[in-house]
Amino acid sequence: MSDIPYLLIMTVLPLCGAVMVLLAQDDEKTNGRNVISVSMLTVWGSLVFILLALSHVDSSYGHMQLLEKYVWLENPEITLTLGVDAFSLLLILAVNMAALIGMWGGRHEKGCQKSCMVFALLFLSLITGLFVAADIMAFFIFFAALLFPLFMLIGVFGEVKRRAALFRFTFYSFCGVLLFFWVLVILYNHDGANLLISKISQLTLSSKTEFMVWLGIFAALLSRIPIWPFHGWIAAVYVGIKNPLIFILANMMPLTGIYGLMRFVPESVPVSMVFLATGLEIIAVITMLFIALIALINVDFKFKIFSFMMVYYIFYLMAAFFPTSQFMMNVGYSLFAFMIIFAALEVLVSYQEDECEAQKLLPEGILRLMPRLSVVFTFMIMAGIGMPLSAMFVNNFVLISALLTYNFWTGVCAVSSLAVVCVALLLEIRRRKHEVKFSVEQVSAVRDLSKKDVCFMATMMLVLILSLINPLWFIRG
Amino acid sequence: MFASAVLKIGLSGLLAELFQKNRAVKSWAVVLFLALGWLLYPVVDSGQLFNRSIWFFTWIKTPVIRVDVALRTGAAYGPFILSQIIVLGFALYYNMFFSLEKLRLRHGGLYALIFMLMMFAVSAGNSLQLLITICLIDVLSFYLISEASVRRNFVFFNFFADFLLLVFFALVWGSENDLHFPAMQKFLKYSAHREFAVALFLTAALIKCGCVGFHNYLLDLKKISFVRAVFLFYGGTPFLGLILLLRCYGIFSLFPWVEKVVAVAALLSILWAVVAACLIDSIKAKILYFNMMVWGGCLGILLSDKQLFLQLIPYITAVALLICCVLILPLVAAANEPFVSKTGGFVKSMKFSLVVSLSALSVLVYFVLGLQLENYKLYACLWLGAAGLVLLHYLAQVYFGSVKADERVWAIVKNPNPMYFLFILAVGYGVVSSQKPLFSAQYLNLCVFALFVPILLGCCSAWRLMRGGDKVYQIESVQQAMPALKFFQILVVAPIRNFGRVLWLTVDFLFVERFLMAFVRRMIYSTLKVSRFLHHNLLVSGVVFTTIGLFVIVLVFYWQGVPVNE
Amino acid sequence: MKNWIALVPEFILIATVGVSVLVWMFRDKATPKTFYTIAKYGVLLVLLSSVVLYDQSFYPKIYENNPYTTLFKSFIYLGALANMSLAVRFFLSTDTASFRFYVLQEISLLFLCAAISFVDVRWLFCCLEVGFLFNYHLIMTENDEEDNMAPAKTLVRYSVLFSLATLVCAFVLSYLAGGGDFQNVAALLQKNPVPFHVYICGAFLIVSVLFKLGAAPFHFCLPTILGRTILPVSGYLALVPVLAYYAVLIILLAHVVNGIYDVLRPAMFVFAVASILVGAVGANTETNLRKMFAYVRIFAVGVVLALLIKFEQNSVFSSFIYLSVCVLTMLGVYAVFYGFKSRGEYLDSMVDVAGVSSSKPFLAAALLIFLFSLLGLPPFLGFLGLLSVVNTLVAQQNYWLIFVVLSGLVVLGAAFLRIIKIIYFDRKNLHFDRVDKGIYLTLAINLFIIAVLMINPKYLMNDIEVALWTLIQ
Repeated sequence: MSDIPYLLIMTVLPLCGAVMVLLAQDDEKTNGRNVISVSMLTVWGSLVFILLALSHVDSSYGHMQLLEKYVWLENPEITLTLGVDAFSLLLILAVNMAALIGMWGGRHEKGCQKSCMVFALLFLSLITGLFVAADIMAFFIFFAALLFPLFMLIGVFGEVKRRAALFRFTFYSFCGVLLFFWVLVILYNHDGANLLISKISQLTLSSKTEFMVWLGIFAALLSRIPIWPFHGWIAAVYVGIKNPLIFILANMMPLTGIYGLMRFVPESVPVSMVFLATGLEIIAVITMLFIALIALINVDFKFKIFSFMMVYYIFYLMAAFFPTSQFMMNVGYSLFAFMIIFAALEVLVSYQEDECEAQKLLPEGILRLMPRLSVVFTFMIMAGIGMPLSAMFVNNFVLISALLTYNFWTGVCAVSSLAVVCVALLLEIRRRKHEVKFSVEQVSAVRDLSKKDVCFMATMMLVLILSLINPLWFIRG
Repeated sequence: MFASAVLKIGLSGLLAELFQKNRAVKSWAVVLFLALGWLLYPVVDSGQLFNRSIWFFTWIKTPVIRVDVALRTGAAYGPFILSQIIVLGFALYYNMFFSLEKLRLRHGGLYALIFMLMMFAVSAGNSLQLLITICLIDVLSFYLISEASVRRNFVFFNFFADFLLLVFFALVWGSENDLHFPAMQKFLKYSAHREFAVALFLTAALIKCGCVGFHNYLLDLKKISFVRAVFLFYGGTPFLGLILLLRCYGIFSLFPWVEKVVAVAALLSILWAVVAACLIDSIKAKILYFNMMVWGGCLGILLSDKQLFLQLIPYITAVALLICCVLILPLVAAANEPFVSKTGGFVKSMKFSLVVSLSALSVLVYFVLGLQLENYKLYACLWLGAAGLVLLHYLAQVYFGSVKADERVWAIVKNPNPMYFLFILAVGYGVVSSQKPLFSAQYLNLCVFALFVPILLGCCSAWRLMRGGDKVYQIESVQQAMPALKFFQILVVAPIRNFGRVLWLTVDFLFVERFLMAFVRRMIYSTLKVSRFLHHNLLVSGVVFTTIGLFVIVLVFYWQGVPVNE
Repeated sequence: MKNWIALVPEFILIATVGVSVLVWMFRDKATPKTFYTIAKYGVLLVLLSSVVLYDQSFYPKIYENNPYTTLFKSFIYLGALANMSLAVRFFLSTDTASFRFYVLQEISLLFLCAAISFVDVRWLFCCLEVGFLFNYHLIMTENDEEDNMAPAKTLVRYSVLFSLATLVCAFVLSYLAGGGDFQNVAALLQKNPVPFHVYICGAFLIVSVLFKLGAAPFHFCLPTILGRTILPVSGYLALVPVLAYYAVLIILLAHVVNGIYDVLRPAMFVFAVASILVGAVGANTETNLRKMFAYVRIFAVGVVLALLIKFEQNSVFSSFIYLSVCVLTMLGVYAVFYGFKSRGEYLDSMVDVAGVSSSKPFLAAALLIFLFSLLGLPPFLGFLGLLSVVNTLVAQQNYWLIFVVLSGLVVLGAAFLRIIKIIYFDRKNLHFDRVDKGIYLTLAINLFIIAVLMINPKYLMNDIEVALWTLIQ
């Protein structure tokens, strides 16, 4: 146990930030600047604590570290345990950086800035809590609690047009929460106390109970991931979000399911789980191929980004089923870079779309009028498709290799899907750099990224390149 | 020393990129050329390139994977390094004064960076180092190409090839848990998926080499400036393709069909290049097709004798660059007139250029005929014949054909400035004077050429061979045709897209939305309707529900089996 | 020996009624707030005296106080106080007389609380039935419309029938047992084999309580009544008496019908499942907000019954936690209803409250929190309730019931999503009046209590557990 409760601070800090945002002055004079400043400062503060926590964590040590226990209930007896390893800290870091990029990119969005930031910080707090939860009850509380701010963000501030899809999505997620709750209580009652996640696989359950428990866990965690055949309306919800910050936060939800599967699924799969694991692999492959192919024919770039995310998420999900945990850090590094790339892409696309809307232009050829944005955008796309510009390259190499080794044809399908979705992204570069004749007025009216924006994005590019050069530069051990 | 020179070159390139100047760009290009020359000259002069040395550092060291990055020199690496130095020299030299270049410092920086990465690619002792450098070279090449339409095909083909290589190397590493190239042999011998892996590798290598079928992205380089196009040909992806084949040379012995495939690809590339070079009007396209022929020839030499290829590669590069430089002279002289059909009769104003061009041609003949390819002499002669036909066809049209240039062009046609000839003469002299035992009977070959060339040139002019060629130049469909690309679009891209559309329509729309969700909606609607009906009339529903409740109470009593005691 | 001190709370309540009557008769300028003030202080005094005299029994064989009865009485009085403070806003804004409402509420409280303390079935059910019949007058408060009179009359008919039948059963059992106290009646019902007529009488006592609770299939009146009455009456009927009926049910199950409970258990299972399903599905059929929440209450009662199928300490504790949480949350919901007002009229149709979030964001946000709490989602208090329920059912290995409860929650979730959609995403149709600050205060207190209990649940879980254990020894 550590003396300073880093994990509690990391979890609560965004919540405190949300309170500060509520109290921040917001009128016509400040025009939302106070709100953004407080929000971004909060995230920067979180980042500092995360890096401090990373400095205390030994990445070579596989078990949970910096453990903190808090007694919540005496009857039934429930003690909440928080703990991290390098993998979860990497994810927290990634999520916070992505949120920071989203806040930077969404700072000019109009309408309900304050409330939006409050819910965004609340969401950040809860997702951090999910990643630091070491026992099943704490995990479930944060897992379920995420639904509320997410619903508010998407429904109220996201300007989603297809409401029916939103409600189906919320309903579907709620079913997953209840299923998980059921399993959780069964496990709790079996052991008589709140169980650490790592100990679940060590329980001796009857084969029927074991099957039901794992089925419940799988189904509940998969409800967060847009797997086939539920990908349609989940895609409709996420893709319809206009605000870049909310789009980024919403697309973090599948990460919670993947993280859960990586934590819950043991290295040696119990006999009752073999059938489930096989089924999941099949569904994962089908989903990847589906989403990738639809991304290829869809012209909406937001859908392409969503597909890119989902295909990669499912690719990382497959890593959860390797019969060894030695690739977990590779997933962590890759996800770290991936989240930054995705967030930056979303912000850049959103910027382009806003300019197109303001100047009444089509997106074809828009990058020709924005040279600075074009450079950054191209860099991010290149990094995203797997070029060696970030930690994604080497770590994806390791993961693809492992996937092909453990199940060759699954690996081939997964890699094909990755290739197709990357082609879909590249087609977008082609479209946005297409030669189009613009009038002089249009050329002069279009605003490129400001110097501040370029500096910010350059910092992110530098972080990505540093992650390629030395993936372990911020971790000891 | 070599490693520090390479790293300094890279740093210079980076600085040139970051601190681009808009003024005095020519001067900065000269500074860059001199700086890099100063860095490289001691390395070349000391013969260090062929002495065995290694500089490495451990880049990644985790329980899962360890990757070392190395820079090497030695007999196996020296020729490649030398050839790349020649390419870099060519690029930086022409970057200083080639009239059609604007962003000289930026391009110079990119040349330096690509050179540095190429050194790492050449020195790669493990697959990850090779793969990373290939990908980074692709990225930098992408930035070197400023035209959007050219970038499009370039990025798609190279991305595809890089992906195939990634999968191939991932398969090998996953199986053998060893990134070094010797581990590949074991994989290729024993792995269950070796055929599949080899197919991936071969496809990637052929794409990189720009063989027929995959050559369009290289031919698109005709839209960018001459210097960048040639640099990318000899210092970019095709060169990487050759390195790939060299590093995985064991494939040819383990899989005989691979050798046949590569041979057929090389032959078809040469044939295609010959035909296309004769039919296409664009001067730069002709140069690029010539390069394609060179690359086809390289593949042939590689298949026949790996060691010979290793020794010859610097010479091949030098001679090829030499020819490219003479071929571009009419374009420069005619103020960037890109089409052969708009030239003709340039001999009146460019006699010196013609002499230099013929001299360069003689160097080519001298080089090819002098090669010690005992079993493949015939193929070399046939290649030379084809190359000769293409080059002479071009020279005859430009210098001796009927005048078709407009007045503006005709007024300014003259020999380009002496700087253009300096490189040609230097390289030509270097090739001829190198006292290599490879070349035999040099004087005999020179005499043969001295007699052969004027006769052929005269015959070509006399027979008006060019008329047929002139007519083809006017056919737009022939000039714009890209059959390989069309082939991919029809047979590969379109089916995938249509498959995606069909999937979305049938599964997402018809099955999920129209059937499944509609069924669920109907069920919900029916349930709610029943509920409303049951609760509609308070009095009636009260009686019914109360009766049901009491009935349940009574039923459980008798169900429990308790006897009624009256 | 009769301990008259034990009846002090009841006397205070009677006195409060008396004072209200006197004020109504003799004071011309009596405002709605006057009767609220009288009722407020009266009930506060009653609450205090109940707590102080928690172990004082009037006559141990008939009327007994203990920590269990005091706990429930405290909750009932607190609930009544909260409802009264909200109700006064209604009467003030509509400028109608509140005398009838407050007096009837006090009388109802008197009978309900007395019923909890009686240890004689005759007295217990007399109080309970009289109190229930009084509901007719409550329902008719400020409610003269023809449409609303018909359901009230139907309720009266059924109430009278049920009451008569219940009293008959109670008296028959008392006669056969040789006394109406719990021990005698319990002994009668424990005979093996139990005669059919004895069984029916005992079972009907339970049925009567289930009818009052609104458990299916005896629920038919509840939604219509709650939807048609004025808001204060609806709030009172929805929130307060349910605690008393629940207390009585536990007393009966623990001390009276335990002999025939094994026989009754399958019927309880049927009623529990029916209540859950009827509640969940019914909530989806309604467009009237109060009717919808009436069905939510039916659902909650169903969950309570599901827990009580296997009657033991943990199940009683869990059912109490769940019910308390539901009542606390529904109190918040009703507080929000007081904020839905347009041109002086209180709105209860979903269509009318469309788009309210744009002009009343805090009200909408509060309702959202309560809805998520009712669904049992963390970090809201409802999660504690759901945790207790599922934990107990799992311990009992009652997996089918868990499935039914969770399925019911899913269906209920669909209904709540409909409300959220209308409040947040539909266009505003009406102009909403300014919300009274008292409403916001009530909401703030409610939310504060929810937050405190969630962060430190031992106030709810541990301290109350002790009180409940006195019943089930």
